[in-house]
Amino acid sequence: MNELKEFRRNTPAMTDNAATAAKARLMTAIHEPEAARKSATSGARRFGWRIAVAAALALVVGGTVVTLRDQQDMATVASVTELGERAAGAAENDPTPAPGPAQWLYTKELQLDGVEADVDRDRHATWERWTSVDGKRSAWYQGGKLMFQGSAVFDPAALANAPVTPAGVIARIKAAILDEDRRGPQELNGQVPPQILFMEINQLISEQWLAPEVRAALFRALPTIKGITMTEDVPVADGRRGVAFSLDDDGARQSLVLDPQTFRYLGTNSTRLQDRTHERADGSKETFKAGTVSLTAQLEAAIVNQPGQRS
Amino acid sequence: MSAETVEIDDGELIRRSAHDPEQFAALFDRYAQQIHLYAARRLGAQAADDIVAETFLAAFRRRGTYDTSFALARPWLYGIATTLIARHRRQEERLLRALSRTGVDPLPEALDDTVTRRVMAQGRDRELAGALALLPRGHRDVLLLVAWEDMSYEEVARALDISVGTVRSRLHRARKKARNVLGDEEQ
Repeated sequence: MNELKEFRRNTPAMTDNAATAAKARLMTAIHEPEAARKSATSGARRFGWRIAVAAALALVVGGTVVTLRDQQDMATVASVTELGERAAGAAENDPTPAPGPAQWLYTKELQLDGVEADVDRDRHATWERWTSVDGKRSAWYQGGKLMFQGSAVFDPAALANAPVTPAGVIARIKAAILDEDRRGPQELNGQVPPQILFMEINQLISEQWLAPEVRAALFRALPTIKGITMTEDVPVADGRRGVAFSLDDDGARQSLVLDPQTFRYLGTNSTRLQDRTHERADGSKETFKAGTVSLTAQLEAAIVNQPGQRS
Repeated sequence: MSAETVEIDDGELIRRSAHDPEQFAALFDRYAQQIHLYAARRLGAQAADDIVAETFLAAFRRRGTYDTSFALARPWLYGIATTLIARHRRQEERLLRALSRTGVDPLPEALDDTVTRRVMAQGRDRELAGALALLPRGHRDVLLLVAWEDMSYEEVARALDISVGTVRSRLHRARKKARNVLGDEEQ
């Protein structure tokens, strides 16, 4: 019996994120018994999410919107400020050990374009990318060869210099954007518009390894950016749905979507709110209808030793 | 959680939760970690995350049927968790067979865990895994609740809603079947 007692005893304890998520589901049931009853049917959700990817794609091939999946239970988040705080808390409590400076972040993303109402324009692709932990290089496969790109705009180590505060991190990102603008397009006149700031934060969160305190500061900073609101029940490319930081700009809503229980990054959602007609240089026109979406979903994220490795 | 709820027993908490549902949350704080460990040892951490959440949701919905004369809710909660684990019986058996065959613990880490942690099991662990995989599920449930969770026969009987006699006979047969790897000692 003693050997049986020891068998698999070194199994890791429940993570804080998992405990928070599980307790949030219980608290939702306690406060909203009806909503909880409905959610009981979607039990094996996390087990089945790879299957859900296949299902979502099947729907797209059939020309239908990806929003047909069962609505999953949502932990109640009252405001964009609370969303920022909870996402920051999840980032701070992430038990994942910090990678070494020579390691790489591997990400695999599913991308889906133009889903609504136009079968011919529906496109999906997976996109694999390696970004060095020090932020200096990124790589991807092209034509069977691993291609490298030079330094990114941001130095993750500089973002992590103490003191790390929400306002401070935003100031550093703005400074980097303006510095690049000065050396390049020179179109910003010393002001970083919210949509550019939001886009850059999106890219950092989806593609770059960041120290937990930097990630947390970014989540706390998002609600302070003018125009950013919270949107609930937002789909990403593999059919999962989450709670999002959203910014409306130029007739479209851009959303950075997080898991409603764990507040981990799920993907992005860009939804056109109004029809928009683009005129090409040759005079021809193309109209993008309201409801057209472009979605991504992060399928994998892992620290690896070399670009090209997946685990 | 208020200071008061720390002192009152599980049965009383559940009784109070009938008109004050918030009281039920204290049970989560008391038992979530240990139930997670139990489920993770059987199915892996990712499955255990779901099982813990669903165990407490199911328990909350069923709290009206709890016999509040039992001060400890632990066997009741383990019973619910064991029922949920049973849904993943094939997964558990695949896992045990793979461990037995290769000596490599096949449990994947959570999706975003960055370090792939694969434990090379000792020879005895491989034999144990093989033996556990061959047990009927009901026997495995009894054996693991006794061996891992130190439950008494009475508690296992309550957890699995079977008689104490059935607990005894299942445990006896489970040990007999696996005698060559579990050792001969009786306890």
